[in-house]
Amino acid sequence: MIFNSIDFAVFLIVVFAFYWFVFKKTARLQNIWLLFSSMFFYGWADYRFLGLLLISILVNYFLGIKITDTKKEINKKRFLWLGLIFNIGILGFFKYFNFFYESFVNFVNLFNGDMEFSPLKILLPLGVSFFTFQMLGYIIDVYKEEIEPSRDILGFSVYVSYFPKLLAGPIERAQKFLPQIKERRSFNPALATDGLRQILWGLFVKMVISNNCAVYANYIFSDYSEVNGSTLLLGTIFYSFEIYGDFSGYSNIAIGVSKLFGINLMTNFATPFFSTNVSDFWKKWHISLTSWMMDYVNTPLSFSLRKLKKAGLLISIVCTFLLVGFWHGADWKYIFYGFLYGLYFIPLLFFKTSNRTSIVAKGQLLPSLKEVVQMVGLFMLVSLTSVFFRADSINDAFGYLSGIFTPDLFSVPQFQSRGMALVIMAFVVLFVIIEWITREKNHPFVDWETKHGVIFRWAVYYTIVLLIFVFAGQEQQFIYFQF
Amino acid sequence: MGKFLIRLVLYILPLAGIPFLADKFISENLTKSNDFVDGEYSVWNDLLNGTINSDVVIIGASNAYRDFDPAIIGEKMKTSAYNLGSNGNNFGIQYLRFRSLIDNNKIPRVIIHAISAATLEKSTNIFNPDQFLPYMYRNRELEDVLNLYEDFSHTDYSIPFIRYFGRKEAIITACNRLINPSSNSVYRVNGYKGVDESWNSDLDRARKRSYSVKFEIDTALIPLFERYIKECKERNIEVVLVNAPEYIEGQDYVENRAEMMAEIVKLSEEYNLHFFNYLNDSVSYNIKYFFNTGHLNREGAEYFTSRLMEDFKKAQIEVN
Amino acid sequence: MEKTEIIEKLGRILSTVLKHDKFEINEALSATDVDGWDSLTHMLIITEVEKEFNIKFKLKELNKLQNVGSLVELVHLKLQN
Repeated sequence: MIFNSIDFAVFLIVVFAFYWFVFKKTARLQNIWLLFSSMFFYGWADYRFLGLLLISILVNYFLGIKITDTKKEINKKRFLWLGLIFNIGILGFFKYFNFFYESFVNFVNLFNGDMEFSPLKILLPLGVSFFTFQMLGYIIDVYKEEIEPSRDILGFSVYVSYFPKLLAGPIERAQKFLPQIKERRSFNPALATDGLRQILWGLFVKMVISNNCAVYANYIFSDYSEVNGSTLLLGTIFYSFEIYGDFSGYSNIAIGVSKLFGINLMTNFATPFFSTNVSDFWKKWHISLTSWMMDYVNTPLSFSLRKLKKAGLLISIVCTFLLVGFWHGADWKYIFYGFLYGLYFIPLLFFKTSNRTSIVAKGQLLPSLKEVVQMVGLFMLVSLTSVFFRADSINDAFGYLSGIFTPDLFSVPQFQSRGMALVIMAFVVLFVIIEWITREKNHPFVDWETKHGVIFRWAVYYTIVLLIFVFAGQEQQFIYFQF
Repeated sequence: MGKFLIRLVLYILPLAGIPFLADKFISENLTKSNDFVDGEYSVWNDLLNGTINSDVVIIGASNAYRDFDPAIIGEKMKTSAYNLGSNGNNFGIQYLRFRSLIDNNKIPRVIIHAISAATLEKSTNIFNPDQFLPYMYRNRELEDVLNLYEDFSHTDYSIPFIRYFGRKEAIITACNRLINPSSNSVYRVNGYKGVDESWNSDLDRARKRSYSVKFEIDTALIPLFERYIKECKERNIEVVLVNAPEYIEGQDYVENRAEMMAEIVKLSEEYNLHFFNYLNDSVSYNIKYFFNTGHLNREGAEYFTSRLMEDFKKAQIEVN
Repeated sequence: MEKTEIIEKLGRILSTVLKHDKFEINEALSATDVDGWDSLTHMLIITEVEKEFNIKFKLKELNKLQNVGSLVELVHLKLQN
């Protein structure tokens, strides 16, 4: 069930009530209930793959223990490889089989072959990209002795299947999650209230900002050969806010929901559009995925290539981002998308002086002109690159982009319902301003009871609810559910 | 925990009281709008208030409310005429217009039904569903008809205000009516809207497109259409079927026009109804009468309606 | 080599790679305190350290580093062997 639905609201209320009133005595009871609810949640979304989830849990659980308990290093390595093959195998089969199969057929046919490609009908299990990556990280960390393997099958099962993050992350690290469910959670009203506020913000961002931007982005992308350059450019901007609002909104809801149960999940977004360079951007966008890629791919790879110094680092970065792109989908356009980002690091590595990572204009109200130019420049780069992510194919992406860089880039954008488009743009501007002012916090409402009285706060909550009710855009599937 | 829950309940409670008031407020003001959703509210208002006092009525889709000028019909047939055309909708909604007319107004003597290939076309969605928003709360009859389409669910009819969720244009329009009552110029005149435009670029697009489209017939509408004809017969209403002009170069967009019209033609023969078809008439060859391939502009509508009246006279269709 | 000398050399390496010296080199210093010291530049820094002290790190050892202090310890240990 999607987060912004009546179904989920009812589900959440029931799970919450039983968690704090019925299953409250021990950590074990709380975990049993969470596991049951999460299985129900996943089964509701797609019961066919419940079995896969369970198998993944069991296999990884036992492998973790075996890796640690086996004495000989060679056997440890064998179990590690088993784990890698199992998890990557699941992902490879369900997600990438047809891609590899088709690429193979195309390759053969290059040599005047006559092979036919008849794709297998393979269904994609929901959340598979997310939980398999979690498991991969776990197995690797156990092997590297960074973490003790879990010997609590119940806790481990909760770690894998925990419903707020099951379908689209954040991709949690075992070190941060397992200790939290080892002890009994007592109700923390401040945390729960903070969670509710975060959920409200996430709903606003998803339903008002993202869904509305999606309507315009969809229209422009579906008809891109018919509109002028400035409209196409505007389309990329709409799409940037669509995808940012969608995924950061979803993440905020997930994290907020988890707080209701006394469990903290990792931050997934940190106002990435206020970054001044590409490296900074990726430290703030989809943090759980990028940090995973950095820790498990880039670090070991760049380490083994370190003799090549900057060139080695570049190769490592490009490979890592190829993987980031490929993670998103079994399509050459995603690979190309990742490849581009790898290339964008070239100026950073070879020319730039420092890659600042601190919060831009820290402590100040307004950014400097230089910072504005950097942020806008980066945002435009990201938006243009996202065309490869959004377009139906690489060809369409190039078609779209070539349409932008034409003389009519400077003409007025074409719109069907101009009035409403302006309203939506106003919302986007408001959204950017709010995120700017609160950029040093995880979400705009953090600690805000220390600054504003209860009447003001409730007035804001009611206003947001009203805005969601009136301006909610046409419902779009959460983009990251397809990955 | 207790305090947390109490605060939560206190917060939600006021929200619970709003729906009834909001529904009333928004619905009332929304129906005042003359041009929102192509002016359908003005027609529904007239229908539901029983103020349509016309002997001749036109029913159909956009082909009706764009192409048939009731003023000319009224003048030529020496009575009053009203145009009940409902933009973009197939016979299901057209029938709803008919029912509202019969239930609340004077029974007409003649119904001119604007027919096209789309009259019996299957449609999962209502065009301009917002036109029904103000009338839906607890409206069983409306719910029964609109269930032919997928736009609304049962909760939309049973819980107040929920159907307005996300309908920002409608809510803003309603609020505008309150804030700015005077900016509400007349849009439809007796249900008719003449278009003061000449040809737009739509045909160039159509020419570029090399394919034609196969319409799908909604078999559920066929018995409904027959029922409609029977009900008119019972009430002594003469139903005249008219296929209004469509610009000749765009006519082949519909691949299976004959199939879409077959049932209607059959019924017209069975029940002995006049059927005037202007697809091959000189009007359809003259681009100056059209603003796009499917619709006449004001000049065209006036010319066509006059021509129709001449044909009516020849066929001795009159109001006694 | 004395630890103080190691720290001094590390400080120079940091400045060279990061191209600034907006930091105070001491044992408690960690990557989060220094602008520009992230997982990218870290690898460049490590390579320079290996070159400067003529030692070789293992990836496992690097993952255990918390701050400059632990790096100094590690370098010191390797120099003794």
